[in-house]
Amino acid sequence: MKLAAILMLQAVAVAMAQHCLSPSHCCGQAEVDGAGAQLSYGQPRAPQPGSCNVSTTPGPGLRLPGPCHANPNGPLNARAIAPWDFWEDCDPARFPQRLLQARCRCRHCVSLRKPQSQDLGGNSMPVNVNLTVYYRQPCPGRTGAFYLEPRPYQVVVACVCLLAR
Amino acid sequence: MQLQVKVTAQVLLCLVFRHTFSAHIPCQEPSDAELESILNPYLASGASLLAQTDEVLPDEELKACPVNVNQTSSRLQDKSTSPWSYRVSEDPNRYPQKIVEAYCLCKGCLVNGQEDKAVNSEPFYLEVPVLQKSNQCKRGQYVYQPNHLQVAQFCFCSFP
Repeated sequence: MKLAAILMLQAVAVAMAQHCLSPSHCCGQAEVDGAGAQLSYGQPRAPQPGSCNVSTTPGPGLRLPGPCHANPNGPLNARAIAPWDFWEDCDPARFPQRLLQARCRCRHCVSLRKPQSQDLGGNSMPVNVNLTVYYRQPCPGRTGAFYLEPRPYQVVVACVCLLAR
Repeated sequence: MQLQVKVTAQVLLCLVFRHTFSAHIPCQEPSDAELESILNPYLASGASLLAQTDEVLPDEELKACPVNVNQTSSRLQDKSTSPWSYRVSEDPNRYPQKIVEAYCLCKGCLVNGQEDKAVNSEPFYLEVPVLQKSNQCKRGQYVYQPNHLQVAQFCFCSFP
């Protein structure tokens, strides 16, 4: 009897962890947004937390590469010999709403002796990972009720220098 | 005087009883299935970080810095000027207890057929959701709390 009670309580605890995470655990908008913000994880996030109103995709304006050079005194992405820049990937229906995607700055890698010029012996290669993100979905047949659907989402996190053949 | 002794004896008995039957109920470890069900919502099926894919085989013995980049390999980790491999990090107070992480094979980077120490091989970290064991005991079981752990995924070559 006592064991049954313990097992039941554990089931309640697990159900709470899965709160707002399936069509059978629907939540109101504010609650689902709170749960989404709590669940969001993964690097690189936008430096300033906040929301976005308009979706951004890697359009022509975001894809233009910067000048190919490294800054040995700069942040991690600028110090790399295959340096990268970031563009902000924004989606108001997703948690996290703002993600930073990397974009290789150079076709090749920067020269070790002259960080301002390229060494053709290497190639900059983007590194992709599949992060877990959450999308707010309407609950079927219930107005104003939502749940969060976990989905894999491909993010370019950095660039590495591969030796050219 | 006799009453005082009786009361003291009763209090002592009561304390011994409490000590034996309540404070010493051992706290149990939750089962792996229970922990997995708590962690599951934090991981979408199909989501995978580099070190957390199924194809990764962690080294039992750590590798040394190779003489040169393996250009014939199809794997990013061998072709990189900052080559890396994978190893297991273990923590009994965490779920999962074993996590695969990347480690850099060289201190410098492999350029022009040799290790150049003017530049560094640096690990790149990503946050991985885990459960951290707490000292708290609830309903006879240790409480595990969701947490984020920085796990090295690959190495990149950078100016120091």
